[in-house]
Amino acid sequence: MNPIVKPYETFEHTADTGLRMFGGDLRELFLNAALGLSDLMTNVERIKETTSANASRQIVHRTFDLKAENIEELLWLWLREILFAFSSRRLVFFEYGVQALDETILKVQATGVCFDPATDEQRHEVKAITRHGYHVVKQNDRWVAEIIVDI
Amino acid sequence: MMTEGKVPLRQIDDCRWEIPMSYKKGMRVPGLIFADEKILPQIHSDQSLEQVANVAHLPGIVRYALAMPDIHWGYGFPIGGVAATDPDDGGVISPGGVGYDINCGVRLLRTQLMETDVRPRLRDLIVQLFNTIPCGVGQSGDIHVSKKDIRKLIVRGAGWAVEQGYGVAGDLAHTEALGVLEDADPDAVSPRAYQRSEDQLGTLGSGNHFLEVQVVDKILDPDVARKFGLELGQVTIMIHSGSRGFGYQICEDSLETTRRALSKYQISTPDVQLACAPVRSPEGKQYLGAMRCAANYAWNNRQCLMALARQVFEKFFMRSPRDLGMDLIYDVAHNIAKFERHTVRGKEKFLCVHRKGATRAFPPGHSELPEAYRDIGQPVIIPGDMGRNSYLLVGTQQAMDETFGTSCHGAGRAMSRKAAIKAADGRSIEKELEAKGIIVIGRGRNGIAEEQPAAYKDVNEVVDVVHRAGIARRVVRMRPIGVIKG
Repeated sequence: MNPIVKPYETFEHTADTGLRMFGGDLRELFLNAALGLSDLMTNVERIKETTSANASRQIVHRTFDLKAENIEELLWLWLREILFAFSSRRLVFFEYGVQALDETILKVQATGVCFDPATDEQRHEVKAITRHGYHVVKQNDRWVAEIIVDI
Repeated sequence: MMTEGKVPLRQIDDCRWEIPMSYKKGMRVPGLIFADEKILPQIHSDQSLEQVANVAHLPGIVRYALAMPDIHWGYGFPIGGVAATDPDDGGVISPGGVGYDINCGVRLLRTQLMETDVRPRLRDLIVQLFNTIPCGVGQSGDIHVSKKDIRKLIVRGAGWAVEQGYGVAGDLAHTEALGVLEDADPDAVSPRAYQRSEDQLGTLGSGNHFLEVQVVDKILDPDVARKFGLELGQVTIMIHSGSRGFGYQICEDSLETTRRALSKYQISTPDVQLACAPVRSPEGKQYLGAMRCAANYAWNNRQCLMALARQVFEKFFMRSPRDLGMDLIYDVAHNIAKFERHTVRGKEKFLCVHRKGATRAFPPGHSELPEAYRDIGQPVIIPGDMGRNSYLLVGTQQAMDETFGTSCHGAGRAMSRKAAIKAADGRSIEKELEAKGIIVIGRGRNGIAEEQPAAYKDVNEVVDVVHRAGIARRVVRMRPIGVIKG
């Protein structure tokens, strides 16, 4: 696996926020995308730390089984699932067990907790993953995807 | 005169600029931008003018793709964009022309309190509001609604909230469309949207949503101000929120449905976020049925938020809301599609008017106005940023004739969120605003820096353009003294 300098970065959009995600392979791209989106909403690393230090915090597992026509569609569906898990059930994931992944299939078991607004860091309320300017490319054996999220 | 920039603009007068149809192949109508020389450079700095030209491609679009002076870069439609389509001429409905936050809007309440009544205990009051009104990321509300009742409230509109004790019947008369769009179809709404609606009623949200305590600081039309019951120094309350996760999910679902149907109707759009379907197609009808549900949810949400604010004032000042004179002046939707009668080249047409970050501004005499405002025009509520001003204007005949009865919706962002945090450079925006007499309490990290006054255009300049263009008339200016943000 190629060493990746950063998993994701944000870029500017007047009203909303752009998210640029990187990966040395598909697995990295998908996991970094989930991390980048979750980090827009809260602080994933901090939640992971506080969860491991707090045995009473209930761990939640969710399995995602996604199929799509191509990589663009698959990544978009994946991000949509991460957003929906947060916005409907307040779930934040910090570990992923990838069971199957190619450009059209993703099966993954995600592990996380239920976000607590009283103790967990509140960043942005993400309304949606837009398709405006959305693209996924492979440059020099490295995946790069850009999306704009509505916040 | 033409302006420099990627998108050519032909100047019509001090406040109007046209994007000629020749700019881009496939434009069905020209673009019409309301702006002056002062605002124009900011508009040129992002991709919003390109987006106006893209909107001009929509099938059945009538007269112009319009842009208000607070226009900025959106996705598909620009924010501050208006488009009317004719269903009799293959006109489409575009979920992106309404936006994710369906029926995001603003309401303005007056009080009988003066600034001198509030100022000595202002911080305590704002803390009380902040502690009572759920706001921020992942916050749920205390108003629990059963699955059965959700289906009722999205059909009944704000009348549902009033029946539950959140407000009084008089509030509905002072709400756009009486707080309810007819023909809402609960079966057109996905299970995911219902799931995202749970525990969200009576919550403010985050981002640019807010509740502000304001003071009337300038009377621009004394006669009309008197009719609104407003005088200098009087305290008002402004609430900005929308349909929460329910509306976001409906927009997302419908964008997918209409995107997949584009080839079926042989529609090609320059941007996939402009996905649309003919108004009378099954996909168009499904979106409209669901959008109306979200609009009705949003009116319930703002009605509940207002009821919570009234409760706080009642407890805090130990006086009844009636005694405090906390009447709703008006509630406007600024992300919505409505069917309205407009005269186009001498012919009356029934058009689908998309307002994406734009406010309806109907003139005096219009049949949809409440009795109290029939002779002065529809109240147009324009929030600014948390450090400058907000405005109350009224709609005009000029707006009816030229912009399908529409005006601007706010200041409009001038800076991205990232640039705003950089510009704040670690300074405490809260402290800076406090020094100006404004108490701001927010929940999210960086939220206040991202929403700082410098991140927005000056609302005074935006409102100046719509006033000079005659598409709304200034009545009263307010300034904030207390703000709660998610």
